[in-house]
Amino acid sequence: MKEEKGFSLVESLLVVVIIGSVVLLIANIPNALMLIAKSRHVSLAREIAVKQIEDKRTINYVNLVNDNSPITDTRLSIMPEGSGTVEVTDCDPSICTNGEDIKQVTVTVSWRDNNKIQTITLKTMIGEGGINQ
Amino acid sequence: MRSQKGLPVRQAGQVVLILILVMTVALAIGLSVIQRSLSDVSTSSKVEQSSRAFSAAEAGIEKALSGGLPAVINFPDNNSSATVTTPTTDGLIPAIPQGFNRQEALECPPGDSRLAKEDVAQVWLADPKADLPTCTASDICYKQTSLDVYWGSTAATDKAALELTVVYYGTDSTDPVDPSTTKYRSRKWYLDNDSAGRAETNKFDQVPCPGDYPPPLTGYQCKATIAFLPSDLMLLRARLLYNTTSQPFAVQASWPCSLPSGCFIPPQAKVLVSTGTSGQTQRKVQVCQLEKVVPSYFDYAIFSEGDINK
Repeated sequence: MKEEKGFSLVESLLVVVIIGSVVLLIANIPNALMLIAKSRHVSLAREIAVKQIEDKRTINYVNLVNDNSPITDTRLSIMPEGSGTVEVTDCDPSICTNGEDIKQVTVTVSWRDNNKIQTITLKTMIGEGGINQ
Repeated sequence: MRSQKGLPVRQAGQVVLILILVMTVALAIGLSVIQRSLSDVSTSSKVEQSSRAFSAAEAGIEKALSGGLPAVINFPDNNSSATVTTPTTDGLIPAIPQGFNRQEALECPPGDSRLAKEDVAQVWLADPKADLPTCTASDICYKQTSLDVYWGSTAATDKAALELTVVYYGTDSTDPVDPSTTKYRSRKWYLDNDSAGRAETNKFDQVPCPGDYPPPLTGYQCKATIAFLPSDLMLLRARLLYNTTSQPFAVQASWPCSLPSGCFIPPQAKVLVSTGTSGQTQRKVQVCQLEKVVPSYFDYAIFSEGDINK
């Protein structure tokens, strides 16, 4: 029987499938690496925010004044354009309906990931005679 | 490779096999990277939610400590909220029993019932909410003349001794200077595990310590009933001696009790449980709110109504 030249249908299909999956993988790997970096940044931002809240809890209630100041934490420099604020305000009257002596602490940490500003916000309250007081 | 005649031999399939092998390895690496990135993202977002829930739960506790119950926190812009409840109806420990039954034992300090060496546990015998030293009919004040104490752990090899100080407001016929004036006084008990073999050196009251008490006091080593308590009891302070590990301490009202009132130890603390929620994540924070606590230097201070002259 005369030997036929060229590729069979199965062979060409196999090549298409292989090349397709390689392209798909290569296209996805940078995305996956970016997601890993993003999740690392989220974890770091959370740790910075938690540390700020813990720092505020060590302050005596009478020394806790209304304030909105930037966070100074060396770990912020690890994140691209990392910055943050700690805001101490009086308790929202809709929550502290009886005018309790409570301050609301809002910590916001933001950074840039994938050309988008990402933000983490933690909110808690510190009251007179409360935890650690 | 060539045949004996020098013609090339077809090696069909080998390239495909190698290619598939390489592809499989590449696919495995690629998939693992993607898998890791997905699990990282999922974990970090859950941890973030968990932090938000925990912060909200703490906020709930602060609100309940300042303003009492019910305490509900809602931070809609932060997608977190908290609700504070008590594990029992009123959350008080020790609870006053339903009906006229023996009160459950109180393990001290509430929430963490282990005392390190020379740590002091404090139990109010008069109602800490009362206008002391007067105990009115509406206050819950312990009036029995005996009280059960439990200390030490059967699991521990170091045998602890117990120093008890009862502070009361009354007279003391054994006081050589001023037996008849009603004032704050204290009386002490020193109790030791009789198997520790320290009786000769410390002269403490020796107590047999068989252990094996009914639940929830199963793990306790020693039990003693202190009798002939004075009236107008204020508080009891207990300190473990000779122990190197932290060991538990508990008190329980004596039973049976024939008094019209005063059979029970007043509630010492209120347990608050705050449940913070953010998304699918919940975090719980539990605190024991103590009524009044005397300062840590209480046992070492000298109290005098007048001046102290050196």
